Amino acid sequence: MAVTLDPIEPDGRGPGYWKAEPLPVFLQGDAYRVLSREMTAYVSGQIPGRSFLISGHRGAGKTTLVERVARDVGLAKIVTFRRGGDAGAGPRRPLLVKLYGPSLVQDEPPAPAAPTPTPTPTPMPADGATAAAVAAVAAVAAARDVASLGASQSAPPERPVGTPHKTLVQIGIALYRALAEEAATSLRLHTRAAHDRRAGDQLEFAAQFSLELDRPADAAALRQIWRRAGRLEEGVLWPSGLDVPGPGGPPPDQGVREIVAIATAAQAFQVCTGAVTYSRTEKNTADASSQATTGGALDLTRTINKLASIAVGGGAGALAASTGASSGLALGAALGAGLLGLGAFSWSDTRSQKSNQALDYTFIRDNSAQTLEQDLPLVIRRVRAAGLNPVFVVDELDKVPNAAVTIGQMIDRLKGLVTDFGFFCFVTDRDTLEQIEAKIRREGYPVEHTYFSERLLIAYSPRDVIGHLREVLRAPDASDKIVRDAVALETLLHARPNFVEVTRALARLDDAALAPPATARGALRRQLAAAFQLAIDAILQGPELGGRIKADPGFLQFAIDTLYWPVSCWKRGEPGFGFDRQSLKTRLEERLAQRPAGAAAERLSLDDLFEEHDLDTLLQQLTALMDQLTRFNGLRSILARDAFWSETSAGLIPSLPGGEPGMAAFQRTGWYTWLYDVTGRRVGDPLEGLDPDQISNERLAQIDAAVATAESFFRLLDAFDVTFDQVVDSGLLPSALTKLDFDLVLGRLKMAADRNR
Amino acid sequence: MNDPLLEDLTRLQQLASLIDGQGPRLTAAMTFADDAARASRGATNAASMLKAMQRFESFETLVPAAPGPSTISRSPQAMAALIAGLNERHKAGVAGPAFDTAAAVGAGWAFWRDRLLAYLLNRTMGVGSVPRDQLLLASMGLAPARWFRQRLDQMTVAEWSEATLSVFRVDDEARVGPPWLLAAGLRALGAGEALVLAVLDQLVARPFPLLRFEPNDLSAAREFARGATGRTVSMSGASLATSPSGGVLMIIRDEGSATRAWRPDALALDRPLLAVRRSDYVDCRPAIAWLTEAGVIIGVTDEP
Repeated sequence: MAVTLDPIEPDGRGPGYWKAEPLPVFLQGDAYRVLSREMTAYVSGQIPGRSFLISGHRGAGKTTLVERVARDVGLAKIVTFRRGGDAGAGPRRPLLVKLYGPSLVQDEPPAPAAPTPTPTPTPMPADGATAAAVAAVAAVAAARDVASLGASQSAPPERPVGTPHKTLVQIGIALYRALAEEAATSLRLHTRAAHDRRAGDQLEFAAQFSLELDRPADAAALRQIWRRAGRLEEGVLWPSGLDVPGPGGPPPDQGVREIVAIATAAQAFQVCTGAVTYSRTEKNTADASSQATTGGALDLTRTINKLASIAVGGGAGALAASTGASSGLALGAALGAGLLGLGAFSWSDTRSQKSNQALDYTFIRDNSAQTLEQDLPLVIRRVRAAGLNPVFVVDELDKVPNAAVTIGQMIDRLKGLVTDFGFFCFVTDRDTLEQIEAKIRREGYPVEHTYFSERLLIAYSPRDVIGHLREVLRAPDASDKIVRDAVALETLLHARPNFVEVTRALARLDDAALAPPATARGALRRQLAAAFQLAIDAILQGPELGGRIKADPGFLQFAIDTLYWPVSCWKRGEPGFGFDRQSLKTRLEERLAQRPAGAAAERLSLDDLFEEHDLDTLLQQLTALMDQLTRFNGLRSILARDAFWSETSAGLIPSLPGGEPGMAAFQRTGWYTWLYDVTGRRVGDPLEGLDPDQISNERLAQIDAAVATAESFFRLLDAFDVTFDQVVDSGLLPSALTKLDFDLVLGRLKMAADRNR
Repeated sequence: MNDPLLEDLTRLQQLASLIDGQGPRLTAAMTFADDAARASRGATNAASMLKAMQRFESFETLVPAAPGPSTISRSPQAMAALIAGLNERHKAGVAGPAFDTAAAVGAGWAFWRDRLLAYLLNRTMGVGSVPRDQLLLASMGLAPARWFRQRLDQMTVAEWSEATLSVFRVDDEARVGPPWLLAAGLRALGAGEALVLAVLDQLVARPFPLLRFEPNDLSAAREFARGATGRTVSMSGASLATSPSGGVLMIIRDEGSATRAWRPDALALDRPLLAVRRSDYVDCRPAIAWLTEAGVIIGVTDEP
C-alpha cells in the first residue's frame, strides 16, 4: 500500500436526496471549533443570539469558514432530525444570510451635479450563493438612483444619512432571498424524490417555484404550492419521514409555519425594495411623484398578521374578508387565488400574478426606519418558528474605511437585532481586529469589548495543518503513517501554516513525493525537514507559548513569524543562524510591514500589539527551538510523551550519519551553525581540514578514555535524576561549560575517532 | 595534532580531573539529596534538594565520602558500580516512616524563631547546619524554610519582605507565617522598635481579616520588637529606631531586576524598604492596604 492524496471529503453526509455534495476537506482550526460550538448552541435554541468578529488576512478563508460551519451544523441537524431529532426543540438548522458589508455602513453619496440622472444598471443575481450579496449591491445602486432623482428635483433626500434604515433594508432583502432560496432548494429535493418514484412534471413545478420566489410571494399562492407538493402538513424544509420515531419530528403545522415565514419575509422584502418602485416608475415621473406622497397606507405588522391568519385559514374568501381595509391587496390575492384554484401553473398564469403584485408595490409604501425596526424581529421570529435560525454574515468589511469604528457604529444601530434576534458574523481583516484589541488593551474595557461575543482570528497552528494533512493524505498501513506524517511535516515546513500555501503545496504533491524516498540522502532530507517542523510544533505546544496563544490567538502569527525565521535561513543555504533581541524585533517589524494594508484607520506598530515581555518570551522560545535542533534526543523525549505522534514518532527524527546529536551546532549565545543543509548534505563540518591520519593511536586512546568518563558521568547524573547544569548551578562542580557544550564536544571527538578507525 | 580536537580533548580531560577532585563531595551530596528526596515519597527531587543544600550551605558541612569503589571518580567502572548500587537502593524502596510535612513545619517555626532571635538581638549569624527536614521543606518551597538562608545577614530586602508579608497570606497555607515574623521581618528591614510595637498594637485593635493569633504569639512578637540590644540591625536613619512616626517605603520591583539583590544593611537610605514583586502585588494588596492604614507603609514607589 502507499500514501495517496484525496483532498475531497468522504461522500455520504446527509440522508437520501439531502446528501450534501462532497467538498474539499476543510482545514479546521480553533476558529472553526468555536464558531461551530456556538452556532450549534444558537440553532438548538440554547442562546438567543451571538455576534462574532471574524478576522484574518486576505485568502485566509473567513467567509468560507462561516459557510462551512453553517453547512456542517445544518447537515448534522438534518441527520439528527432523521434519527428522531432533538427532544423538545423541534427541527432547526441555520439559514445563512449573506450581507455585503460596505452597503450596510457607507453613507449615501452626494447627489451628482448633472441635471438628468442616469440610473445605475442593476446587476441580477448570478446564482443562489451570491444572490444576497448581488441583491445588496443592487439595492445600493437603486438607492443611489433614488437619491439622484430626488436631488434633480431639488427635493431633500428621502431619509437622513446615518440612520439605521439602510442597514435594515439590506437585512430585510437578504433575509427573504436566503429564505426563498432555502425553500426552493428544499422543495426541489422533495420533487426530485417524487419524480424518481413516478415521473411527471414535478421538476418543472419546482423550477417554476424557484422563479416565483424571485419576487415577493403571497400567502395564498404559497399555500397552493405547498398543497400541490403534498407538503402542507410536513412542510418542505425537512426530509420526509424519520428513520427512528422521536420527539424532535416536525410540528403538525410545519407547512403552515413555513408559509407564514415566507409570506412575512416577503412583505418585509416588498417594503425594503420600495426603491424598485422608483426605478420602475422612473419612466413615468408623474406616477412616481404621486406614489411618493401616499406612503404609509398600511402598517406592515398588521398586514403580516392578517396574511398569516389567511394562510392558516386558507382560501381567497377569507383573505378578502380579513383585509377589508386594503381592497387592492384583497383584490389581487383573490385574483391570484382564483387563478391558482384552476390548478394551471402555466407561464401565462405567472404573468397574471405579476400584474397583481404591481398593485402590492403601490399599496405598501411605509418603508420608514421605525416600521422596519419593529417588523424585522417579527420576520426573524417567524423564520425561526419554521425551523430556520438566521445566521447573518456581514462580509467584506475590510473594504470599509476605518472599519473598527464603523462596525461599532453599525452594531450600535442594530443593537437589539444583533443581540437577541440573530447570529451575526462580521467578517473583516486582521488589522481591524488588532486595532480593536489594541484599544481594549489600552483602555481596559471600552465599549468595543461588548460588541462581540467572540473575536476570532483565522490563524492555523502547525498542529491544525498536520491534522488536516492527515485527513487528506490517506495512509492504510502503519508504515504508511510514518511516510504520511513525514510528507505532511515537510510540506508544512515549506508552506508554513498558511491556508493558501498549504493548498498550493498539496496540489503539487505527486506520486513520487508521496512515496518513501528511494535514497538515503532523500530520506535524510525529508527527516531533517520533519524534525525541524516537529521542533517548532513542540515549542508551540509548550506551556510558554501555548497559554499565551490560547489567551490571544493574534499572538500565534508572531510566534510563527519568529519560529519560522531560522527555517528561512536554512532554506536559503546560509551557514548558520544568528539572532538577538534587537534583530528579532526588527524581523517582526519587517513581517508586520509586509502585511497587506487593511481597513484599519492606521497601521499599528509592534509596540501597540504586544508588551516588551512578549518579545523576551519569543526570544527565549527561539533559543529553545535552536537548542532542540542541536540535540534530537530532547525532541525524541518530547515526542514520546505526546499522544498526537504516538503512532509515528519512532520514524520521524533521523539518526544523523556523522553521529551528530542534532542538525545544528551551538557556537555561542545567539549563534548556531547548520550541520546539514536542506538537501540533506553535510555542511559546516567541524573537522573540515583535519587529516585523520594525524591522529595517533595514543591520542585515540586518550579520546576514548575521556569520552568514556564523560559519558559515564552523565549517565550517573541521569540515574540520580539531576542534570549536569543543575549540579553546576548548585555550586558542586565549577564548570564554564554546559551540558550542551559537552554534547557538542563529545559529538566532534567521537566523529573524529570513528573516521580514524 | 592539528586541532580543533585538542581543545575538545582538553575540555573532557579537565572534566575528568574535576570529577576526580570533587568525587567524594559529589558522592556525599548526591547521595544525601537522593536519600532525602526518596524519603519525601516523591514530594521533592534530588535536583531541588541540591538547590536547597546550596542555599543553606550544606555542602560545606557534609562529610565527604571516603574514597573507594563507591565514590564518583573518572573510572567508568566505578560510575557503573554506583549506578548499579543506586538502582538497587531505588528498587528496595524507602525504609522508615514517610516524611511528616506538618511536623517539619511545626519544628521549623521553632527552629527559625530561635535562629532569628539570635540574629536580630545578638547578631549571631546562625550556628550549625540546617536540619535535613528544613532542607526538604525548602526544596518543596514550603514555609518557613523557603524564605531563609544559612547566613541571615545575606538575606535580601526582597526575601525579608516576602517573609514579613507572609503573615498576611492567610489564604495560602504554604506561605503563611506567624505574627512574630511580622515583627522580625520589619526589624530586619530596619524598622524601629516603636514602629514595630505600634504595628502589633494595631494588630489587636484592628485585626487583619482571618488573621488568627494567640496572646502567646503577640508576646513572642514583642520579644522581637523589644530586643535587649534595641535596634541591632544597623541601618542609616537611626532615628527610626525610636520613633513610631518613621515608616517604611514600599517599592514595587520587577522580577530579575537589580533590586532583587539589595540587602538591607547595604542600602544607604534614611528609611527601611519593603520590596514587593510586581506579580505579587494583587495578592498582597489587602496586606499593603492594612499596613498603609496602620502607618507602616508611608509611601509607594516604582522600581527606580
